[in-house]
Amino acid sequence: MTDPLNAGERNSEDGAVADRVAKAGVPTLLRRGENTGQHQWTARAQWWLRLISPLLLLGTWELLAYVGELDARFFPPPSEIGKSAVSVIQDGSLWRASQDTLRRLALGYGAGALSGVIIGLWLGLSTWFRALIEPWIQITYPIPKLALYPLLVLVVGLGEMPIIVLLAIGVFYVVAINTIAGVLSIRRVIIDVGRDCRASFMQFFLTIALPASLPHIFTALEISLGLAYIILIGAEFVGAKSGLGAIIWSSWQLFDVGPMYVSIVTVSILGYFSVLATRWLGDFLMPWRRTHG
Amino acid sequence: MPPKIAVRSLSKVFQPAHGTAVEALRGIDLEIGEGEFVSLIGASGCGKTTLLRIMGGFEQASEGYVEIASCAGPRDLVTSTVFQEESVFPWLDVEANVEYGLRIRGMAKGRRREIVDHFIDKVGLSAFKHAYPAQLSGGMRQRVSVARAFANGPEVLLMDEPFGALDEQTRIVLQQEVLRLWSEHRCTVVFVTHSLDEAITLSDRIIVLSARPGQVRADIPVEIPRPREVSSLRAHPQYAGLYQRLWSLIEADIERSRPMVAA
Repeated sequence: MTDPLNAGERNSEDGAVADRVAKAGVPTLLRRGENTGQHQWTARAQWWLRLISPLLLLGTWELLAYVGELDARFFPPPSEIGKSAVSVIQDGSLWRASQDTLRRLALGYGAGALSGVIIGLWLGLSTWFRALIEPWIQITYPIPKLALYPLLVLVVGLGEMPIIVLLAIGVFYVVAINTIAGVLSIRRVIIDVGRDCRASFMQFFLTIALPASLPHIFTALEISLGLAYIILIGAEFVGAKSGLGAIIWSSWQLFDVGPMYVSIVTVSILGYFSVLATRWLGDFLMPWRRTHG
Repeated sequence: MPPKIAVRSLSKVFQPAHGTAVEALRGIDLEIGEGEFVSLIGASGCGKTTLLRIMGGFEQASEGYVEIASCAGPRDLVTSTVFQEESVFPWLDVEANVEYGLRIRGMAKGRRREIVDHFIDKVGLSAFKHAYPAQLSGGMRQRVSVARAFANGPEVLLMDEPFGALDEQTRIVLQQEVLRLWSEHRCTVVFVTHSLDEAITLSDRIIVLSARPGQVRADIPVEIPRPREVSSLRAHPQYAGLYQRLWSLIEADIERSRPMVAA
């Protein structure tokens, strides 16, 4: 990567040289564009720095806990957390909790994303439908979705269902709103080609609105993934007996913070890989965007 | 025999939600015969694109109508349009773009491929069949649009300044391709252009529209024999006279639409 600040460095030098020339009246040769190898060196150094940066953080933490600067009851050193990670992996509890959390995520996120795309495309294409439905979406969008949890328990009962529904609702809004924006940003001439070829509403939906909105849809899928984890873990705090959120909450209450940290790290790893998976799916479904990146 | 296209006392007034109404076309009467290549020219803003869009079914007239004598089946297209703006689908490769109109009308894959291959070959994109539009130049993308319109097999081809945004060399090559395609697939063509040269090169007849509101000012036959060679057409004895005549017909409009310059 080129550092724009470094590229500008030579120019300030030019200014100094110009001063000198003006004073002495003797021309000086300016050499530009020569490859000094500077950029390659800094790029490589920065790559290494990026790699060891997390280790630096962990090392500092370990050191501070070791010398007693950090309260080990709440901030145990990474080595202790590592030990409790080994134990929850060996007794299978981490695996079971991750499975429960991921299952809820898949069901809730999947339902929310799918309905968001379908309703969003429809709202984008049909002005009548938009006039009817869009005000509802705009009015209810700002409601913090977690606030609906008690109501959902009343409606769908205890257990996993309210968590999944809550997740679906949160994801639905983000995906639907972005999908509408995607459809509305289609250039008029693209719509005209569809009309020229006498495409039906369903054909507009599938062969124009959907592919044209995919970039918007995938941006929304990525954003709403972060939101989905927030809602999911939050809902598991209060409403689940299993899952990573439940472990975080219960181990905190028991002052056994090892599993809590392990669960937090697990959530972040799962989050990281689900974002990667989403991007991979996006690349797979939008091959035309890969060819000019 | 009735004309292929008849425009009957057609007027169009654009009434924006805010602001004053704009009268784009006034009392257009026009007949275009089967298999004719007709150009519409006129100063910019004279409504020639509007007239084409009404023919294509994209806009409604304020008064009057366009009648097209068609013997198309329920699955055939009466008209197909090549737009001035870039209009290929970025998410489809060249082949799928050309195929689009046939696919959504449910033509069988085998027949579809045959037609598509034929036209991709005709516009010289065989080597780029599986390229996405982002990998092509502007001229190549416009060839895809031309191939798509021809592949649709319409009775009437509507072309709205299709080469307006292209560089001179590419434009000449594409004009030649359109002439060749048209000589093989004799459909009726209505071609909007701002280029006098392009109108003379391609057409059997040139309709000159006046400045806004657009009215038919002249209907000029082009009697240069076919087949024509785009590159050598300017040397034809009739060319200069036609060019002069067309220019004198629209010169005043263009002068009028120019902002005043201090003398």
